Amino acid sequence: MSHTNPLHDVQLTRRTALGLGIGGLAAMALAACSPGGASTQAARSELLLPTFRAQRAADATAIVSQVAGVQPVYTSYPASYWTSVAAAPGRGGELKTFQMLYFSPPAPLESNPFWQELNKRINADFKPSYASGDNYDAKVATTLAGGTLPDIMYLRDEVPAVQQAIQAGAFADLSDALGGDAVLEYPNLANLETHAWRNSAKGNRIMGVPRTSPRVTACPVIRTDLMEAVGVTGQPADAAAFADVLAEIAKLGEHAGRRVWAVGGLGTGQIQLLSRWMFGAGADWTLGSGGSLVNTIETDEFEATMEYLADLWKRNVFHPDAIALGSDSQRSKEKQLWLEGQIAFELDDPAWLSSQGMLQVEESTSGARVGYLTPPGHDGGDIVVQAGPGYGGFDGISASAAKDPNRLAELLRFLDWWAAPFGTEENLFIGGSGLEGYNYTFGPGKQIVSTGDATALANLQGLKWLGVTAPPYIMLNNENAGRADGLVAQMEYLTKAAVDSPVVGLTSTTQTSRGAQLTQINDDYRNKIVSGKLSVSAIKDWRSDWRKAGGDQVKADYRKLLDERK
Amino acid sequence: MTQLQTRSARSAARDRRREDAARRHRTPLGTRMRREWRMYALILPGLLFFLLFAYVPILGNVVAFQAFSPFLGIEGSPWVGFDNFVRIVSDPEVVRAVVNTIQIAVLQIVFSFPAPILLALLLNSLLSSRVKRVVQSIVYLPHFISWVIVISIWQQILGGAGPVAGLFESLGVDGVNIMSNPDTFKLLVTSQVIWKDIGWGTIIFFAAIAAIPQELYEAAAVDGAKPWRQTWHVTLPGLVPVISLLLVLTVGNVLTVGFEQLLLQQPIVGADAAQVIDTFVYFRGVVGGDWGISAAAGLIKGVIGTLLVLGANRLAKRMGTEGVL
Repeated sequence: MSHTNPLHDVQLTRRTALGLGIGGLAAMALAACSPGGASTQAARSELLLPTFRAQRAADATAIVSQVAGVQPVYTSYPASYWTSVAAAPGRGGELKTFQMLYFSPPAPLESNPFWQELNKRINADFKPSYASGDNYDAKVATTLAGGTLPDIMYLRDEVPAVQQAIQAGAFADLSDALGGDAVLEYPNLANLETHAWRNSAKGNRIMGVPRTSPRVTACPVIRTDLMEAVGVTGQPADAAAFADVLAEIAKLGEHAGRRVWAVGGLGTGQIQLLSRWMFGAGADWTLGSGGSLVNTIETDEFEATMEYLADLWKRNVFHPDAIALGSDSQRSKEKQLWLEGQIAFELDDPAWLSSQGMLQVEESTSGARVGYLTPPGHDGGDIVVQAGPGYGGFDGISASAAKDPNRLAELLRFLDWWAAPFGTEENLFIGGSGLEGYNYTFGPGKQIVSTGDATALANLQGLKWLGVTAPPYIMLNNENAGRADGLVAQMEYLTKAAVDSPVVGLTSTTQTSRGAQLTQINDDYRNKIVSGKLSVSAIKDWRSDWRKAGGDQVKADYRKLLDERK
Repeated sequence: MTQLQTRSARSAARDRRREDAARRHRTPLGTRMRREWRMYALILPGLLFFLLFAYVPILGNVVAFQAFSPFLGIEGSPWVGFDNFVRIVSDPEVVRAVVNTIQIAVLQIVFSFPAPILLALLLNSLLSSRVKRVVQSIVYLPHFISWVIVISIWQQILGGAGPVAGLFESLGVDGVNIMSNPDTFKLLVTSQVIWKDIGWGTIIFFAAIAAIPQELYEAAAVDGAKPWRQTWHVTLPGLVPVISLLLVLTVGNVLTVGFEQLLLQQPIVGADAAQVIDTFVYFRGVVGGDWGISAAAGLIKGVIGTLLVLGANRLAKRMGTEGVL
């Protein structure tokens, strides 16, 4: 192919790819037999939530917050493990799944001790198929088009193909099997937070078992050694004080022989999010007077956030490539700069930061210390944080597999087994540690010591990620144990400030189809205003462009769905 | 070349074509196929390949007339007639994408198409074949680097924290960031394409240059032609068939101006500068799940591409070269 037209091989390749894309569609469509019995699902009149019944706590030292929605932080491994599922969930048949593979693929069953043990423990022939993080959309669309669906599928409900399939009845409505006290058949599922069930329901139906997540999943941290280098200790009192700290750190230019910047990228989920919290523009949607929906960009608070960021830009707080580093595709690069000790501010998942991220910076950079940054209200008052939906996708059960009530019960037992909480035998095995003697050994004080066998780790990681998992917790032991109190205090502070989005759990079809374009508009205007190419007053054009590109329609969609939910 | 010569060359080509056609029609196709079945059998694998992977997928274009959902498939998805096409034409976003696409396409034809020809001529004029080979190897390596890496390298060098910005800073000009300037973005894109593919593109021109009979150069030298004249009167005319062939093929692809390259840089310079038809199709169709509209856009692109190839081919023939079809 390339010999006929080497000069434009790139284009040809791309055209071929496009052709294959369309070809793929055709193949998919040709292969798709219309799924029998699938009918479009209308909303149920009322949502029957599964009864919540907490499971036993783990036999380990933990800081358990009194603030609802803050995940427990363990500082030691359990002294003993208990069994939450009495009998193996399976009946000896196959279990086909569609799940995530974030790591290298596991070895085949014959040469994979973890897999063999897994089959034994669940009494089933476990047959996963995979999507990786970046090809999920395409893979799930192909799988859905393939006709016969795997028994259990990990579903990201923001993906259009998934929404369409749910709407078309591809997955079983679990409302009867799990609603109310029916869930008590599956004690580990009854242990999942109620708001995750509520928010993941579709049209008042339970369409899957949610992968639960804490109320707040973002946590800002800062290099305290750099703060001290500019003569600041303690948390900033207000937004202006925080800006001063950043500007002073930026002026350092170099610290301990390394080029340092205060902030890396102009990221939507990083510095912009923090600034929105400080200025009270944290919630994506709010209910205005008279019950009208207001998007954050339409608020004065958001305008003040933009002004603040533009001021930071003027004061050279950002890395020179901040706009590039703030884009999704370069997030890993920004993270690398942070891990190499070149950036003072970071905002990410609290579990990752506390157990790995902060430690890695302190180890890579001599003299570096990282502490939690407690963001102040812009005037020293309160902040507004948007609470997460409490779940990140859910496991749906194929409608055709669920026709047989015995099979449905078996499939739910598998999910129950996977959802076993921290401190159980099941969680020790499937939740991350794996097989004793293969993946880990018990050290002194029942400490879990990894065998350091990379193949064993790959064999475990490749199989365990079904979606449903134990309720979230954080393990901070050894060198990280000292962070536990700070982390809990930080998460309590952020969680108390968290507000629910009025549209959480609702799916606007316009948001699905136009979301990417709306994000583009938001990012483009944000970048231009903050970097000084446009003045802050251009936010008027921003809002009107956003409305015209679908914002108004999204609003109308949500309005309609809100009225239906009443 | 005089006009007379051109005309006689043209009529000679016409005569040759006529002869070929006459010879072909002497024996019927069926007889020839039976007699030469082994030779015809050789066509099969290639034919199957194109049938399976190029022609059958074309049928998938019916999605352009549907509100397609993968789970429902082509059979189950509702038909919407020309709705998707109407939506494309009435979307202001498309206008911007088409304008950007055409601007980038023109820049690429004007600058990145001739670049490898010039480089091939330049390298050809080098005396030392060793130097020639080394340079050739170096310039064609970037072709094998993926766009993610290419853009990363460019950013390291031309970005706000790179040596170029540092140089400007030392001259007292602050805040130079070539990578994030939307005004010069299209030139940047073209430069990246040239940097990445110029070496790869020279290969075919080298082959064409090597096929030019050495006697022509000798004769030109005897007539007193200096190297520059030799290039103009011998090398370039020798390259014309290859150039026109590649140009025809390029024109067919003119609306495909680069997907990964633009998608990766779009967040940096904004959609105003970097939204092209392919990225629009991606955001709307693949990300937004609007398969119908993206298939419709692909279909329009395919039709325009085919028309352009046919047009360019006819033009090439009219100008006296063989063309492709």
